Amino acid sequence: MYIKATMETSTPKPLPNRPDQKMPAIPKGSRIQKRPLPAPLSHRLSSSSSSSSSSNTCRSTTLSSTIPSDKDGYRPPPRAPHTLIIKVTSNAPFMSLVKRVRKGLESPSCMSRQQSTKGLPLAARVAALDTGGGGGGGGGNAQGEGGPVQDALDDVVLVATGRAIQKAVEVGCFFTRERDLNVLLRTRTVRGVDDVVRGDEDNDGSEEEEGSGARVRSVSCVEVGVRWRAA
Amino acid sequence: MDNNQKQAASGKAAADSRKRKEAPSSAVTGFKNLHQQGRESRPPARPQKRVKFQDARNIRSQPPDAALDGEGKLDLQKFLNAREFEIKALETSMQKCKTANATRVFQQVPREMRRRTASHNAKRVPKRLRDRAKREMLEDNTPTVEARKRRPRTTRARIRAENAKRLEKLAAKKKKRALEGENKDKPGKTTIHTRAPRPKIRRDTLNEPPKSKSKFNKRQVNKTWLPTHLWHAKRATMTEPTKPLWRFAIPMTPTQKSYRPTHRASGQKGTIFWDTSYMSTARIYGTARCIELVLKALGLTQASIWGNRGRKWRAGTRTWSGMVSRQQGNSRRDVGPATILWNPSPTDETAATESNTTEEKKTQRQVLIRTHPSCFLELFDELVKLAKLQTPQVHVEDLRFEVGSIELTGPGSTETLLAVLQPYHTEERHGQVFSSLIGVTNPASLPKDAVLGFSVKDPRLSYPPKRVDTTSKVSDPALLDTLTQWPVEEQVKPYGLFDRHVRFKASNLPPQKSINRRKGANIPGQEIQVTAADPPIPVIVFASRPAAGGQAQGTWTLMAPWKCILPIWYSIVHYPLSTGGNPRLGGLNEQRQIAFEQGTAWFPGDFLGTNAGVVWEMEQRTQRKKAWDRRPKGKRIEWASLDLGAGRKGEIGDGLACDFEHLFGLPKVPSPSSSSGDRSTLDVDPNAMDVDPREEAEAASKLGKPHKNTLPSLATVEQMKKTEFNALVSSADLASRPPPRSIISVNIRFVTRGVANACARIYRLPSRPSATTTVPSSEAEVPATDPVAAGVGSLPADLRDQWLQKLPSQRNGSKSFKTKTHAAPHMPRDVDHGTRKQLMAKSLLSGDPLPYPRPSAANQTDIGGGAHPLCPGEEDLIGFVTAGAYSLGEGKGTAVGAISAEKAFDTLKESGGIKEGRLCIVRNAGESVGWLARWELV
Repeated sequence: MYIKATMETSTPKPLPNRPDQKMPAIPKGSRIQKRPLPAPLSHRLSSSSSSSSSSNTCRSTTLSSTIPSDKDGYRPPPRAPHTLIIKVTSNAPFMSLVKRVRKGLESPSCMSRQQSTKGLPLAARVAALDTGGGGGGGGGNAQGEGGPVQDALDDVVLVATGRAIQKAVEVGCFFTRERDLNVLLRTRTVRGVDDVVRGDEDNDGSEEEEGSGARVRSVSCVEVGVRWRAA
Repeated sequence: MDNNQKQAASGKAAADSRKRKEAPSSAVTGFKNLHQQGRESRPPARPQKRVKFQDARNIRSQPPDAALDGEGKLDLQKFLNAREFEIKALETSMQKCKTANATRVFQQVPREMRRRTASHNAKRVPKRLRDRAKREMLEDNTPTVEARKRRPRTTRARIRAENAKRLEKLAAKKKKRALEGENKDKPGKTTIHTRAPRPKIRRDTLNEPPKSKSKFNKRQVNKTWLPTHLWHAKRATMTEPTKPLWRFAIPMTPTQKSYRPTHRASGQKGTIFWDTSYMSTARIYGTARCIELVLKALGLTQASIWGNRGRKWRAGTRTWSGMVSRQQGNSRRDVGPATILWNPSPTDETAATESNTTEEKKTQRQVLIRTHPSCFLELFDELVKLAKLQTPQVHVEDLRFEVGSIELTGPGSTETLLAVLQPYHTEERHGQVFSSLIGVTNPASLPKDAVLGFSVKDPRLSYPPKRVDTTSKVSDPALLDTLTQWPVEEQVKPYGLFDRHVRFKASNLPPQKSINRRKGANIPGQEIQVTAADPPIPVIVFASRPAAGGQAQGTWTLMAPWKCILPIWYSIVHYPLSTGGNPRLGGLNEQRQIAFEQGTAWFPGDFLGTNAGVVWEMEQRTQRKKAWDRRPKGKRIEWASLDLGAGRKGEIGDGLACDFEHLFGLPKVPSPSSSSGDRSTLDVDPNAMDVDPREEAEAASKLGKPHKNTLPSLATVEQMKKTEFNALVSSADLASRPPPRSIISVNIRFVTRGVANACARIYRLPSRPSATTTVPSSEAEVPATDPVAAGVGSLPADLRDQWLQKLPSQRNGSKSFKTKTHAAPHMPRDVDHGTRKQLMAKSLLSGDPLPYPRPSAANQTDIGGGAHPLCPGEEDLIGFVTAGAYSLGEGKGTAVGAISAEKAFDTLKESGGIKEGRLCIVRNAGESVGWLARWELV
C-alpha cells in the first residue's frame, strides 16, 4: 500500500487541521447541528476529455484545470466513469464491504476496461469510437494510448470519514494481499456544513435562531482506491 | 448386483424411449429441409419445436448386454466404453437443453422496459427483436386476438358495441353536415375569440374538482384523477375503482417489484419520485395580524416563530412544518401535519417595515397551507371558522385542484430537478440560487426548511432532459458559500404560485402539437427557443429534512399549477441520472416504506391520535378482518385458542387491531365483523375530501346518523408530543403526569432478533414483585370472571430478570464470542502435512467438550420448555405496533408504533435507569413468543 503525500508543500501553508485562526466559539446556549456530509467531489473523467487530449502533457493540464483541489491544495486524481464509489459507514460489516468491492472490480465495465459511452453526447461517442476502437477490438488488456490513463484510475473507491476511517483502511489492507490489485490510500479533506442552533428547552432545538448561521467545518476523509494492476 | 440390475432396467427404458423417438428425429431433418426450401411450405412449427426439446432432453444409454461377452461374462473394457458413452450422452444432452431455447425473445427485454402482453403482440418488443418474436409466436402457435375485432360476448358488451356503431354513424353524419355548412358560409364568416374561462375559486368554501374530459367522466364520478393518472394507471397498482382513497385514484405501488430498489434509490443511488398532487393546499389572505391570530389558533403558539427567530419564515423564505391542532373542549386535538408558507410581501423596503412593526402587521399578506387530504376537510372547516372570527375578516381559498405537487427523494433528486426546472428569467434571485445547487446530493444539506420560488420554462421545450454536467461546473467553495449563506433574502418578490392569474396563464401551455411543430422546424438536437406563447410556470420548491436527522436523505417538494404537473412529470421520468438509470416511480406504499426505514411516523397510518389516523385504522381493521374471513378455518389464527403460557389463553383484545380501546378500557366500536364491507357504520367518512360538505351531510342524514360529530371511541385517544413527554419525564415534579388516554409515537428496534408486524403487542418489562405482593395476593385480586388474568399468578417471579438476561451484555458477550471463535489455534503458515495433522489432533483433544445439556438457544421457542421467557401479563401491555418489518437499512427488525404515555412515563420513573425503562417486549398478534426490543420517541 502506498500512502500519497497530501500536500505539495512548496510554501509553508497552515495545515487545515491546525489553522492559524480558529473558528469563533458558538454563542452560549447554542449548539451545533450537523448537516449531512457532502460526498467528496467525484470528478468523472468523461471520455470526451480524455480522448480529445492527445499528448500526455496536454492531458495533465486539462485535468488540473477542471478538477478543483481540496482545501489543503491536494488535487485528487480523476475518476473513471465506471468507478464504483462506496461510502463506508462505521457499522458496516467488514465482509459485506469486501464483497461490494469485489463486485465492483468484477463488473463487466471494470473487467473490459472499456469506457461505456452510454449517456454521453454524440460527439463524445464518436470520439471514443475513433480512439478506443482499435484497442477494444483487440480485446484483452492491451489498449492503445488510452492505456496508461485508464490504468491510473481507480476501479473502486472506498470513502470514509470519522470512525469509519479505520474500517476503510482495514478493507484496503485486506486487498493488498491480492497480487493483481493495486491499493492506494489518499487522505483528503471534506468540508461539511454545520448549523448553529439555539438549543431551546421546548422546541428540541429544531428552530433555527435568527442571528445564527451556518459554518463550514473540515473533516478528515480517507479514500481507498482499489484497481486492477496493469497487465 | 442390485446396481447392475437398476442400470440394466434404466438402460432398457432408455433404449425403448430412443426407439420411440426415432421417427420424429427423422421428421426433424425433414422439416429442416423443408424449411430451407421456402417459407410457404413451412410445416406446423409446434411439433417441430417439441421434437427439438424432446431430442435435447433425451439421454442415450447403452443396453447392459452390450457389456457382456458371449458367455454372459462381464467384459470390463466394453462395460467401461458403455459408461463413457453414457456420460458423454449426458453431457451433450445438458448442452443441448441449454441451447434449445425455452425462452421467448421478449424475455430479453429488461424487466422494467417490458410491456404488457408482449408475448401475444410482436409490436410490443423492440424493433430489433420483432422478427424473432413473430417467428416464435408462429412456432408456439400463440393465439392472437385483436380486442377491437373481438365479437362481444356479454349482453352488456353487445349493447356497448351496438351503441358505438350508432354513435359512429351519427358522428359521420355530423361531420358531413358541418363540412357542408362550412362550405356554404365560408366567405362571410366572422368568428369571435373569447378567452378560456378561468377556473372559479370561491372564498371560504370548498372548490369543485376540475372538469374532466367527457370521455373520462364516468370513471371520475366519485373520485378525482391525479394529473398523471393515465401514466400511472399503466405502471402502478392504483386504488380500487370503487374504493378511492381520500377521493383520489392514488397509485399504491408500482407493478414492478420495488421493495429493495426503493430502499436503494432512497438512500444510496438514484431517485424516487411521487406525484403528490393529492396533497391539499389552501390559501389564507388578510392582514398580517389576523393571519397570525388564525395560525396561533391552529397551534403555532411557540414564541420563537413569532419573535425575531421566525423572521425568515414570515418573510417567506422558509417553511414551517409540523402538526396543526384545533381546540376541542378544554384540550387541543391534533389535526395533521401541515406545511405553512408565507408569501413574501411586495414592498421592497424591508428596513422600513422592520422598524415599524405596526405597519407590518396591517399589510395584506398571504399564507399557503399544504396538508394531507385525509385531514383537509377538518382543517378547512376549522380555518373557515377561525377566519370568520377575525376583524377585518380573513379569507380562505381552497386551492386543491389549482396547485399540484411532485416529491422527490434520493441522492439524485437535486440533479433531476436541476435538469428539469430551468429558470425562465435569468435575473430572478431564487432561480439563480437554485441553478447553483449542482453537486448537492442530499436535499437535507440545504438550510432547514429552505424555500425557493421562481418561474421556469416549459420543460417540454428542452425535452428530452439532458444530463446535468457535474464534472465541469461543480466548484466546492461556491456551493458551500451558497449552502451557508443562502442568499435568498434580498429582493424577494411575491411568489407567482400565489397569484391566480399567473397560475392561470401557466395552465394555458401551448399544445404538444405546436411544440412538435416547432421542434420539427428546428435543427435536430437544438433546444426550442422560448417565445411569447410559452408562459412562465410559477413553481415553489422546498427542501425538507427527515425527522430522523443524521445522514438520512431529505425530500424535495415541487409545487406547480395543477395543469403543469404533467409536462414536468414526463421530463422527470425520462431524466438520465448521472449514476445511471432513471428516477424510480413510487407509490403510497413506497412513501410509507421510506418513512419506516428512516424510523419516522407516517401520516395518517402511524398517527392514531388524529381523526385521520383513526379513520385509517378503522379501514385497516375491516380490511384485515376481510382477509381473515376469507381464509379457511384451519389456516387462520384462532384468537381464542392462542396459548400465551402460564395458563393464559386467548389473544389480548382484538388480534386484528391496534386495540387501544382494550388498553384504555374504552367502549368497543361495533366489531368489524358486523360492519365488514359496510363502511357507513364508521362515523367518519373515510373520504373526507368531499366536493360538497352539504352532500355529505345529506348522505349522512339519509343513513340516519348525525353528521361528523360522533367518532369511534378510539378518537378520544390523544397524541402527545415528544417534547412534552420529555419535559414531563425530566421534571422533578411528581404530581405532573401525562393525561390518561394519551399515546406517544415510538420507533422500536429489536435488540437481538424478531420481526414485528402491524398490530403486534408491545409490553413493558414486568416489574419485580415486591415483598408485600406475593403470589397469593395477586391471586386474591383476580376476579373470577377474567380468565386471562387468572393465569398471571403462575408467571414466574423472576420474569424480569429472565428477560434482562436476554440482553446481550456488551463486554462479556463480545469477549466470550472471541474466545470461542479463536479457540482453535491459528495454523502456522509454512508447516508440513505431518505437523498440521498433529496440531489438528491436539486442538481437537485439548478443546473443552461441549456442555452436555445444550444451553438454551434463543430460537428455542418452546414456551413450555421454559427456554424463552414468557410474555408478561396483560397489565404490562403498553401499546401496539402500527408498522413493522425487517428493515433493510438496519439489517434487523424495526417497527413504528404507539404506546400509552402514562404507562411509559411510569416505567421510566419506576425502573430507575432510563435505559432499562426503554426496553420492551414485542409480540406479534397471534403468536406466543415475544422478543426484546428498545423504544425511542419519534
